[in-house]
Amino acid sequence: MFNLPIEGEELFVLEFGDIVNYFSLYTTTLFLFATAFIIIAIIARPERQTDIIFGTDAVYTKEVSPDNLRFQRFMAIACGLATLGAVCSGDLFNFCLFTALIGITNIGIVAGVNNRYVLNAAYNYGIVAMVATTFLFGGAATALGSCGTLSIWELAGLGMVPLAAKMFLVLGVMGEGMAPFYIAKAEITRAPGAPYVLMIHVSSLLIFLRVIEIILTV
Amino acid sequence: MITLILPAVFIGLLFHGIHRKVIARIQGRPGPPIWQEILHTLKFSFKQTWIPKTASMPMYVFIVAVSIAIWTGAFYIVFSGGSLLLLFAVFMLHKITEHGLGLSSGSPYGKFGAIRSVMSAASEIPLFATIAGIYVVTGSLMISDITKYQEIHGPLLIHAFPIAIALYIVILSKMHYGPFSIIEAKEIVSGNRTEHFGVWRAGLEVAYALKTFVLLAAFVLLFIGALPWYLMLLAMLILLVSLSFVCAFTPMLSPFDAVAMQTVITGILAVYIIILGVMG
Amino acid sequence: MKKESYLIVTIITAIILGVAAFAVPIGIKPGWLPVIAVVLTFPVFVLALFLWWNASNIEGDFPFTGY
Repeated sequence: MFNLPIEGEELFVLEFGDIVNYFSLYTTTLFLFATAFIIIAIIARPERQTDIIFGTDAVYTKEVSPDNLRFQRFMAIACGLATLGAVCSGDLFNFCLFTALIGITNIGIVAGVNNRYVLNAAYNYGIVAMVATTFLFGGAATALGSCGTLSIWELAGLGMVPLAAKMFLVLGVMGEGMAPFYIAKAEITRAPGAPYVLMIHVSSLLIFLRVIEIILTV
Repeated sequence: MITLILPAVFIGLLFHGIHRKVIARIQGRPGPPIWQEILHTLKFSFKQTWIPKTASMPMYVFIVAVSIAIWTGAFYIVFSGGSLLLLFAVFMLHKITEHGLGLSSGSPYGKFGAIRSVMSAASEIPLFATIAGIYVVTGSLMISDITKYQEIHGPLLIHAFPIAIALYIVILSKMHYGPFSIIEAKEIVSGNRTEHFGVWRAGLEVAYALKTFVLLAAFVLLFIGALPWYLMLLAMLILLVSLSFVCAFTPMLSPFDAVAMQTVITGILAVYIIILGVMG
Repeated sequence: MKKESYLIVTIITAIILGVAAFAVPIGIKPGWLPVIAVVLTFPVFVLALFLWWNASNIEGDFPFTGY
């Protein structure tokens, strides 16, 4: 791809006017992986999390109510679609837009759980994601300001994008893909997980993989 | 390619057995025979198998298949001289499957294993340092270009030693009984694999055997260069025994220490790569 | 599923894997096609094979469900 020895050969190009999405061997792998998990999110029934009543031997299972299930599933699918957009976009701005969308839908997945602590955590993630948006679009704006374009096709291999813009992009992606924060707050043990919570991690790691490809390319 | 994958699975399982044997001998125990892990896999595949009522179906089964599929893909990437970045992606996807294994069953132990798996995503960061370092030194991320570079300039193990250390630590963090393998610590039963028993566990053993084989092969290809197959296997075995020594002598770290240590190693490597980039 | 259906899946995937192994002599054109085929069918093959020899023809006893 782009005659750079980074991500394998170019497979397919999808043009929307001047927005040209591309599929290299690398991004296609990510795309297929995300697609597989979207299908799983659509067809899988949620796990029934078992928990121990503290101080006793009793064990109970948590059921997800149909309303919550519908909302979480919708958010998980939206998150998956945003991930598909982020991994195949050939334009820094579109990448940032899809990444911000991933942040929003991730909060949606977490907020779909009727639990005070989990909702509180969702609120915190919202703040983190909002702060990260500044870095994300700041990175894209810096790249636009110094290069005059945001198309990865134009920027590939030139090394014109300043290091600061790349660092902003990575920071933004780390904030939007909230898997590390979600883990650090341990709310995952309260929220019933698969397959919706897993979508958070799939999207977080896939956009992280994509941003690495972008910063090596541009 | 399938003609290579089946032997790779058996060699990977044999490597797991040798790993256990070496650890046992160092600790003064007789240890299991080295083909124990092959028997183990067969044993699990004959055990009665069902699906827990609390599990998320079909995710519970799907995630085992994904685990095997990604390492089959990684095997192809390494031996066809593909992109190192893709290998890195497979590592990350492996994190997702580890996480999914724990989440899909509904078991609290599995869940704790899954949490530790994402927490120890820090173990993937040294791999990124490896990739960045190799890109700075050789100017390419295609494994075929890197082996060609080594034919001309000699093994990377000598003139990019810190980068080799980084990949060594990544492989160490993926080994059973290692200091960083907090996701399978015994205080959380079997971590994320707790609820995957019988056939599912046998499938996972196949995936992990392929993983060990691919990781060792990738290290040899990246830092020593292309070798004839018997020397390659010998180099992989020596590498494995050195890893077993580390695993035998170090206790398992607490989750906090494991993550802190890997982050520190990555920090040191980042400084090394920046110096390399500025000087070179 | 029945033991026979596992066997059928095992045989079908084994045939696909066998064809993929000889992709170069046969001359299957896009080079990536056999790779995709192997990556997708190998896990199915492994699990179906294990499930096939695991599946029993006779009625099993109840699993141990705890004290």
